Amino acid sequence: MSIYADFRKDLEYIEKELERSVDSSSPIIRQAALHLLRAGGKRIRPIFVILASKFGHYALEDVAKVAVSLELVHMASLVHDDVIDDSDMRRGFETVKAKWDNRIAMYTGDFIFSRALSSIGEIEIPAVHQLLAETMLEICKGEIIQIEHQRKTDQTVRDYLRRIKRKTALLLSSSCELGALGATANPSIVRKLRRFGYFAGMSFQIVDDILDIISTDEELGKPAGSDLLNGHLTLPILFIKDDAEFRPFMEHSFAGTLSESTRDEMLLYIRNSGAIQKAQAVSDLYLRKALGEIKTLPDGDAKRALTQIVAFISKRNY
Amino acid sequence: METKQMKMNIENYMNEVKYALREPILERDVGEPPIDALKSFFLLLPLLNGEKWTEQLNTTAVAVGAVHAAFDAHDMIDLTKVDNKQQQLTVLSGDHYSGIHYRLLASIPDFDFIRTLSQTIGQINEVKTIFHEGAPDSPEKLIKAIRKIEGGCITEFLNVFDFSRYTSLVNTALPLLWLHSTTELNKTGQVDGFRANLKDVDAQQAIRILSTELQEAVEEASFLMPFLQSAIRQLTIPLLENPI
Repeated sequence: MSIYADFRKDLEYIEKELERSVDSSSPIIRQAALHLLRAGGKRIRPIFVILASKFGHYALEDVAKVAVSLELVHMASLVHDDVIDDSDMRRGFETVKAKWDNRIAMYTGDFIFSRALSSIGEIEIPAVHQLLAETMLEICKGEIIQIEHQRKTDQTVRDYLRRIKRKTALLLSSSCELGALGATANPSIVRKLRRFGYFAGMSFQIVDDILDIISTDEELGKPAGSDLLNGHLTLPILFIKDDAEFRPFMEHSFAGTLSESTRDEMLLYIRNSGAIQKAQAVSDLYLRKALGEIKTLPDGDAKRALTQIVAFISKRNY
Repeated sequence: METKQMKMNIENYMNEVKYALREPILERDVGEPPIDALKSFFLLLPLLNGEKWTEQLNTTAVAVGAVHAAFDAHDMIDLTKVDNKQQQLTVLSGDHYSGIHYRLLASIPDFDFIRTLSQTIGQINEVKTIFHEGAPDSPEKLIKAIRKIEGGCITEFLNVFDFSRYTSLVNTALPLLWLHSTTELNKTGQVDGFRANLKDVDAQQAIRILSTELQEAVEEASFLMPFLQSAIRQLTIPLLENPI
């Protein structure tokens, strides 16, 4: 991705630190964690940390500690999510729980989480820890609410937005805020970056939910429509959940009785319903707000890169 | 009187942990957090023995209790299938308890202990994973593994706060109690995961080694008030070949 070009070296350093941080005396944990790291991911959290830090006193070693921690928190939550959703594939690779078992996935997730705290533990700024702790608890609360909302068809767009705020936007918002706090940036800049991260994060998750429907199984590395198959009603679905023609698809998805061919029909129905465009419009609204925050930031390379990231989010297809 | 006070202190502590971990949806669907009374007793030994116990120590102790609850919640997850809401929420309950431990330490904030405890949590998960693949191949290695799993966090707490003299009690009594209860549960097939890998021969030998060590530890613990020595004896006498 070309937007990485300006800070590729820093990102490579962080990547090495990530690998180093999950080194383990347990061969299984080491293998599982490296497997997760090497499966890729967009590293959007480390990128946000790097860019936000550039608005303060940038010191790569400290930036890396924060970035590594946030990426590990994200990774740990994915390992546990796969247990919750009983998912066998992620990004085209077998999940930890599928390759070993649920208990190994729990231990691996907990191990990665512990390494996240070890990494950020080196940053002795109270506000950094208080913010990360609150963020982690809110993410968990978001997951709890997601399970509470599972297969519930009476939920609203507002419920969805609240859920993705906790599930995704908060960690991206905190990535920006922690990056800036760690670099002791000016408080007004910290606030702007936090808001930027939040708006960008909302858009990022909406796009993710759209991609779950419009991409192929191969592109996703898991079955398209997985969200609905797992009982999660995302924004496009909320726009059409009451359509008489769509309801049988939804009921079969929830009951686990959706055949392969009916899944294809369902995905086609959603794609042609106009729901994708409506969801995209909501995503664009958040992106415009994110851009609005960027405009108020001091000029420089970091500001330019943030603008490029907004463009990337709006056009991304992976 | 002292015993009554001891029970009250432990009960208060357990209630504090429970309160800190409260989350309405989890409480409704998963139940109250698992808080281990035995671990609470050993964690609070310095307090029960009349040592100076500050607000910071108390908050840190509650954080350690939260970590233990997180471990216990995640050990309840079915090995192969998480197919109902209660199991899904149990996964998240462990994550929630874990997050609370961090919030408590961040509120102090105790950076040293955040680092120390996170290292220990990582090591405990490593040991559990290794054990999950197969039991340690000697009683000594078995003791080392159980010592880390059962007493690792408490030992760190005691060491960091200058209560090291209590660690030999923790490091012998907790593995001994674990070995005994797991051996009993294994007979009825009520355990899974790494607990099911426990080999009876090694367990029996480990119990013998730990029994001797515990007797020595209690004898050497002259700093311990008599009612606490008695409490430890009462907890462990049924497990010892030669009662202390």
